[in-house]
Amino acid sequence: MKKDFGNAHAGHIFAVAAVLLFAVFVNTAGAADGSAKKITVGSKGFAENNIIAKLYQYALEENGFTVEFVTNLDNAVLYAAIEKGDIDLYPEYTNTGITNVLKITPIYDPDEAYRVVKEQYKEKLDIVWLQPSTINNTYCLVVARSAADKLGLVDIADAQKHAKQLRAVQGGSNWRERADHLPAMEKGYGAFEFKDRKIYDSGLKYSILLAGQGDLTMGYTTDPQLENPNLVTLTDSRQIWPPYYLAPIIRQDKLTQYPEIEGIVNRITSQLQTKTVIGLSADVVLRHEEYEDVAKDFYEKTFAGK
Amino acid sequence: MEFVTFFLKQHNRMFALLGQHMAIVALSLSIAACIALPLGYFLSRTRWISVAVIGAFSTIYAIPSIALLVLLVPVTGLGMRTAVVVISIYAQFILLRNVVISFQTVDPAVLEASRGMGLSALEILLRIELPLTAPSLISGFRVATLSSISVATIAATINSGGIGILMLEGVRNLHMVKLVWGILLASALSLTANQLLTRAETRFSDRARGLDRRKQKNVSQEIYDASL
Repeated sequence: MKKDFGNAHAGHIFAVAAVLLFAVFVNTAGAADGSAKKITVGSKGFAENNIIAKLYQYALEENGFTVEFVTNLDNAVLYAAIEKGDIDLYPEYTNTGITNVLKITPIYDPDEAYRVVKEQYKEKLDIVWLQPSTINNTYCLVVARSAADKLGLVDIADAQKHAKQLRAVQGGSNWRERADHLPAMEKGYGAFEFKDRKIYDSGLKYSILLAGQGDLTMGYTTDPQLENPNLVTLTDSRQIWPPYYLAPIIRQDKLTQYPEIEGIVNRITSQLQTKTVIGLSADVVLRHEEYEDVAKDFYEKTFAGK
Repeated sequence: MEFVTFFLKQHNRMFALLGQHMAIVALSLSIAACIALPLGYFLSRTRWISVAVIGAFSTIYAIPSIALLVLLVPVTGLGMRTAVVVISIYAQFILLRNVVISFQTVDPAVLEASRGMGLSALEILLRIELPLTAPSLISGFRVATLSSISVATIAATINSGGIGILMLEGVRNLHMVKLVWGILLASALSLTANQLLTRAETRFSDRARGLDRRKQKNVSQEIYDASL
């Protein structure tokens, strides 16, 4: 009996030793393969950003890179991740970098915005802004058709006048704090005293308007839902929102290590058209296709092997 | 119908996410249990330290999980590691408190009787205390498991994978089918874990009360009877 126990014990030790040996072997095998060019591509988790980040991934893979893809990150997490080096590259928007990361006042001239954000990211964070796209994903104020018709809302100024009759739907929690959100609206048009103001996940805002549970929300100009006739985008006669041109940003150390990344990524960016990208987002947001599939199809049609 | 086609198209990914979820929970609970059992056993002997340590953990437990996850990203990075650290810490609170209380509720008369029978401290732990506290230890482990399964869904926001991804993508794109599949998988996982651990709890509780069907002599019961 005693002897049996001893044998079983020895067996266990052998098993543990075998597992350890195997783990060491797997690790060294991984380390020996140092020739692989590795990069981590990040995304903000909404359709447009996911699709474009995926296009970068496929282009890099075609050029021999091994890509890890990281998505669904909150903005704050994303900023921390690229600064720390958990992420090397992701698509950012010029004035988001300016207001949300650098915490300086919005810059309205598109070229000036790009120049400043590029210079300050390099200086403060050692992150490089690559060639910008022609996609300007800025903000807009969206109201439900019923409210627009009832109150005759056309411009943001009209919404300000009738704010007391409007239920605001806030997608995400920092509407009041971010300089380019509510503060920008109030600076341009005066105080907005909404009937009420509720916070929801950003993905829900349009369906809340369409379901009649709210009247007004802040949207992105490239949101495919805006093509719905029951949603009205108000004109911004006083131009309160600066431009948010999409451009990929990359850590300087990664770019120094693999300078060819710039050409690979720029080739994708230079061919992105606003209309095309809205169409691709619509496949994901409205037709519920998977963003990987949508990006893959588009990549194969437009870029692969060319 | 769309519900079925989604499953047919996405089942590989769904099972992969379920696997990740289970891996995160299993790893976190193993780490938490390895710390909580010895630490809790030690703390159960010294009442005043146990109050302080449990108090400290309950303070951490009061921090919302999403905040703790985001706070830890700069330290432990993105991905599973951060999720495992956070879930282990949360589970620690539940387990530790449970282990301390379980060991403290063992009748001192039983322990005295065992010492009187000449059992060593280790023998008392293995043959008396553990069998007697097993049902309550498992009950605590069950609560910790359920809480970990739900915290792990939130960890999808820091790239740790898991079922939370389905829910997050479902909400972001108003993809109800995806969202509901996410909810179903998470609930199924919780219900299964709950069922299995409740069964284990009952079995050990029967054994602790001497109701074990196997004819093996139940030492703890004998000593308990002797102590009365």
